[in-house]
Amino acid sequence: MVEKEDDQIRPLADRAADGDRAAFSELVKVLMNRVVALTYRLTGEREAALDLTQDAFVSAWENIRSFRRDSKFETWLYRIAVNKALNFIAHRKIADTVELTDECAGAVSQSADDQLTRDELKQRVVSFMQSLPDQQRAAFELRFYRQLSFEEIAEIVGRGVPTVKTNYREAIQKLRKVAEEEGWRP
Amino acid sequence: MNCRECRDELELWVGQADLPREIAEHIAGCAECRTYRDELRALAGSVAEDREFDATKAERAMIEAGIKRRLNPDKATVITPLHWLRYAAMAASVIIVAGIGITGYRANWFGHRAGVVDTTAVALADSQTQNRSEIDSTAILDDQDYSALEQAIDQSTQLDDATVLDSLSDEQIKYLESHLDVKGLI
Repeated sequence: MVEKEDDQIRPLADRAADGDRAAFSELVKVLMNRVVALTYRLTGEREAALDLTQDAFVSAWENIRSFRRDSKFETWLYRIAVNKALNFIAHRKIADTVELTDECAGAVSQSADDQLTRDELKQRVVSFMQSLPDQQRAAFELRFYRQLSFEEIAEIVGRGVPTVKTNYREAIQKLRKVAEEEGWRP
Repeated sequence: MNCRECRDELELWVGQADLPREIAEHIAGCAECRTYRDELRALAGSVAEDREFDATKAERAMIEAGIKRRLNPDKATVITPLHWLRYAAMAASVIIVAGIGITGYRANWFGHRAGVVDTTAVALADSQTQNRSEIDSTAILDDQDYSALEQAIDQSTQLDDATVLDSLSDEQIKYLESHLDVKGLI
C-alpha cells in the first residue's frame, strides 16, 4: 500500500505532472539532497552521484507524463535514480570496486581503536555500502536511509517483497559483523 | 511470536522509528529480545549521519544549472567556432552539389536529353534566351502564344525539325521568320 506523500511534495508533483516547470524546479530543490545522498551511497563516488542526480531529474521531467498520480513522486524518482546508479555500477570496472574496498579496509584497521571522526564515519559508511552486492545495497539505502516500506522498495528495484526483505536482512547482518569487528561507535 | 521470529523481524526494522505492535508486545515481555533491539538501535545510530551526505551549496548550484541547461537547450545554445565551421562546411557542400547539378544539366552529363539534340532545337533555345528581352519589349506575341512557343522549344530538344515546326502556329512561325532568322529551315 502506498503511504501518503509528504505534504510539501504532493501538490508540487501534481502541478509538475501537469507540465508546470516551476513546480518541478521546486521539487528539484526539495528532493535534491535525498537523491545526491542516495546515489552517493550507492556508487561511492561523489562526482558520479552529482551527475546521476542531474540525470535522474532530467529523466524525471522528460518522462513526467508517465508518473502515476496515485503513486508517490518520491518513490517514482528514486526508481529512476536507483536504476541509473545501478547501471553506472554495472558499467564500472569490477577492479575499481575491489581496489576501493581494499583501501578502505586498510584505513579502517589503522584507526579501529580510535574514536571515529565524522569524516571517517562517513567514509566507512560509503565503504560498507560498496562492499554490499548491488541489490543488498539498494535495499539498505532505500530502507535504512530513505525509510521506505518494503513494498515501495520492491517497486523501485523491480523485485518481490520477500527478496527485498532478505536483501535488507543480509545487509543488516553484514553491518553488524563489520561494526563489531571494527569497533564502530556512533 | 517467539524470540527467533521476533529477532528476524527486528532486523527488518533497523533504522525505523516505530516497531509493529506484535514485535513491541513481545519485546515488552522479553529481556533478551529487548537487549537485541537495543544493539540494533546502537548499530543504526552509528551509520545514521545522513546529513553528512547532503550536497554542498556549490554542488546544488551546479546540479540545478545542469538540469536547467539540459531542459532548455535552445536558450543555452552557444555558437562556437566549431559550430561555424560545421555550418560553413554544410553550406559549401550544398553549393558544390548544386553547382555540379547545374553544370551537369547544361552539359548533359546525365544523358537526360534523350535522343539527338538537333541544331534547330539548340538554335531555337539559344535564340529564345538571347532574344528574351526583345520578345518582351516588342510584345509581338500575346502571353498564350509566348507560352506555347516556349513549350514547343522545350519539346524540341527531343523532336526532329519537322515535328517541331509542325507544332508551331502560323503566328509563331511568322515570329521566328522575322526575328530568329530560321527561314532556311522552313
